[in-house]
Amino acid sequence: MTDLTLDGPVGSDATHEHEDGGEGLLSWVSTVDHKKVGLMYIFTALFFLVVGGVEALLMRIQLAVPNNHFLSPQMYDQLFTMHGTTMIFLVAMVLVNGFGNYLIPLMIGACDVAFPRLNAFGYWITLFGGIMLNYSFLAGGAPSAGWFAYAPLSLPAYNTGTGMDYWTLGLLMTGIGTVTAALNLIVTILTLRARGMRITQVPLFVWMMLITSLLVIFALPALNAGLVMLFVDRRMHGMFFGSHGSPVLWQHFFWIFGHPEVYILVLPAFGMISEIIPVMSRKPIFGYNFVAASTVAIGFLSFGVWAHHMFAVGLWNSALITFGASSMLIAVPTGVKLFNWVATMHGGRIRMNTAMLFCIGFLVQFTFGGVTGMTFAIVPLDWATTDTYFVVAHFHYTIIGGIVFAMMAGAYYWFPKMSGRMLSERLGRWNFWLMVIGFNGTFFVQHILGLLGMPRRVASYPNLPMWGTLNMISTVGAFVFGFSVLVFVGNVLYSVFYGEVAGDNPWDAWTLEWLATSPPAAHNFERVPYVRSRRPLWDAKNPELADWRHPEGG
Amino acid sequence: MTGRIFTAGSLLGGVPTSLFSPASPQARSVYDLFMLTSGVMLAIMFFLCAWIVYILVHYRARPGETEDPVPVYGNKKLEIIWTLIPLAIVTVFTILMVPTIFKTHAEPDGRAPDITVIAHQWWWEVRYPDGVVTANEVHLPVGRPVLLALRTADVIHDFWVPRLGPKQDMLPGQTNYLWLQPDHPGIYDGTCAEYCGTDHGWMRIRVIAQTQADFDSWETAQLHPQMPDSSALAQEGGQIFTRSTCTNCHALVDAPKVAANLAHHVTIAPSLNDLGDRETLGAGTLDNSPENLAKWLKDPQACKPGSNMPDFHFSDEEVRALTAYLWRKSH
Ligand code: HEC
Ligand SMILES: [Cu+2]
Repeated sequence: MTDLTLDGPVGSDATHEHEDGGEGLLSWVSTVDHKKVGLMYIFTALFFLVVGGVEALLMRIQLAVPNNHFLSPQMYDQLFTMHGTTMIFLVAMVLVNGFGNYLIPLMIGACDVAFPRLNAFGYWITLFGGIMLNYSFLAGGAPSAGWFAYAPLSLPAYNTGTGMDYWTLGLLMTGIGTVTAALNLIVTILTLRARGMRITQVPLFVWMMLITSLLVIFALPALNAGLVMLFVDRRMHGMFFGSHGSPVLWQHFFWIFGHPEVYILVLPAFGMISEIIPVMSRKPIFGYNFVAASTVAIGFLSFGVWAHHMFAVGLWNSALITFGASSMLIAVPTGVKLFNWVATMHGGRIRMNTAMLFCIGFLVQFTFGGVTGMTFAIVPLDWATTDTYFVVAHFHYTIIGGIVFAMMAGAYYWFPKMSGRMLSERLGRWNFWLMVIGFNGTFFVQHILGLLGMPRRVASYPNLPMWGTLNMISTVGAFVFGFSVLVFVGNVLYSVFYGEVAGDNPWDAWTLEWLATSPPAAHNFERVPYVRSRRPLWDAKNPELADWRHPEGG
Repeated sequence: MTGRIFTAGSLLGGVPTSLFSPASPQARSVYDLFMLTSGVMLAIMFFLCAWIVYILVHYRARPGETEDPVPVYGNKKLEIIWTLIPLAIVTVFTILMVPTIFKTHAEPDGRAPDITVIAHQWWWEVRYPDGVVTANEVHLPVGRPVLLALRTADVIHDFWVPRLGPKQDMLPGQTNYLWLQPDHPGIYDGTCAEYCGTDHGWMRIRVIAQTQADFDSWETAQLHPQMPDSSALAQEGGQIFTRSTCTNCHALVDAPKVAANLAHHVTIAPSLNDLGDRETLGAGTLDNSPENLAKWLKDPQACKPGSNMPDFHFSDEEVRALTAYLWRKSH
């Protein structure tokens, strides 16, 4: 496939008609440039992050004290449903698409994605889905069946109003957008790599995005099909999931999407960590092949563990044991990755900047999220902790402590490439430490709350010993976290205008995106060198120690 | 919270729904497994953190160090070691998990359930084979495993009494089973643990474990519910009760009847027999007392917003009469 590529800018021609479309709003609305589409994804995600964050803060105010009446239970239910749905589908997924779109062509030395128009379509339909979902607030009430919308609670008999309909249709649209984005990235990675770059030589972020995109292709259709069935149930009296159908069937559909979804979100974060830690430690990634192969293992395993979300529905013991064991197995490839990241740091010359701080935050917090995750694979412990605040704490450790921290590291690392300027390191320190304190303050105590018997998704709770105190700590932590996000937004706004000028390769990094100007020209590269190893810029700078000279480095 | 039996001890164990004070063989085996695996996992966590701290102390770039270290690409032996170690750990965990599953989740093997619990949005119906029907609290004898059959009348709910063991979903069209075996007489707090709509948070349940003798006398009393007070106020309350549509939803025996008929009463809402015996009203929303009963009758929606009990806009007079009529205690 590599012989399709040219020495120099490669990729589809479709962009060139548009690339000089000028500045202004129209240039964004009409763009098919992967970088602009990528940035639009990222801005959209930031916008919805604020929406979902405000929803979270409202919930935390309600839960700050026992027996609170700040929100009605109906309002609370809408907020937690929209918070979960927004954060997963409109923030995390969209951020993944944004970074993937922006970075992949640059990292593989291409001038755009394989199907630029499809790419723009994917963005717009995702945005449209997001708007549609949130329009439900104005159309008589947002959905309130939780982000996994269990039937029959999500059916008209128990959920009147149109909120759930907006939910199904909105998610169907973002689902279509996500699938097109994934297809596009797969084809891009397989066909548009720079001359010489073998598939085993792509940066690990690209590799992980490839696996993520494959997971999307296999997992999202289960959700999309489920959504169509749910819609038929709701509007046409279908009998898929109601009392004449099977409520458990919906759970199977949802979680055979939902569990791979976790990895769809976390693999790109792994990818970012795998780029940033080596550069900041000044060493190549330790065990590239093992990091890459363990990703494939996670990809396969992720389709065989969905029933661990359903251990309490009354499965037979044989199913319980099978799915418990398969879920635990995921710890193996994940552990391999963790050890390799830390081993990469070992013996390095570590630069402790904000990007690296976020990587370290990721390592510790994600591991803790993984450790508590074992509780849900060990079936009897799942029975004790599922549907309590313990599980809320657990998945926020993986999603915020892991994914968000990795994305923050990514933001500090690639912002110079995207904008041409560095983010302020001083604000960055504030950003990092406030986020660490706010995040752990919010969620660490929730483990204890869960173990003390507090169920999740309750709009108010009785005044049992310690519950009030722990919830108050959690609420204060949430506001600290919210403030840290504001610091980040402030840093971005400040640095876009006044940040230090970055230059093409401020970190002295080794992958191809740092060869382009900052920000990259519309066609990305003037010339792409022939690629002989995983670190082409290292090779260029250190011909004596070039990776391709080493048997394991190429 | 009088009459509660706490396992004395740590702060965490002092919470009535704490997993740290298991009170049945099932809960204890889960607790033991939790402590064991948590210990192992925390050790791994500690090791990783210690390694990172070591690295940060030793391998930070010092000012002036601009040279990059000579590349190291990996080490196969190490990779194999840190693949095998987690594999060994999860294998051990799997082996430990299996007996606990069987201990806590024994199949009923055709045995008839001792008690049937039917979840409703947002309260619990509790039925006994001899026809006793009560609500929101499960009386049972200690000293032997009691088999609960769990069903739902509407959406998915989940029966969970943390100190007594696992939680178990209740699904439409399906019966699930759960064993309860409290060590000692006492009151064990629990809750619905699967989100089931507006009042999910106020769908609390209590297990009241009694000695066999106490349980037997409770059950006998339930089979012969108290009759209303003969006072004029209670009589008037009875008329209001019949006049309003209460009996469309609630069962209440107000003339001595054959006990077995109890079971055939409507169960859209909690049975109101011997209402004064219960500890709470509205599935844990209010402590039970004549005052709170009056408060509930005056405006149930203010007490438990969203609940399926309509507000009848009774006057204070009517509320007083109804309270006198409904407040009956068997002991
Ligand atoms: C439409 C059905 C309906 C009607 C009619 C109705 N109730 Fe209720 N009632 C309920 C439901 C449902 C509950 C349980 C509420 C909850 O806990 O969520 C309830 C709860 C109660 C309770 C508290 C019981 C407990 O153990 O928690 C009392 C007392 C009560 N109702 C009295 C009455 C009286 C008196 C009337 C007639 C004036 C009446 N109800 C009419 C549905 C009804
Ligand atoms: Cu419930």
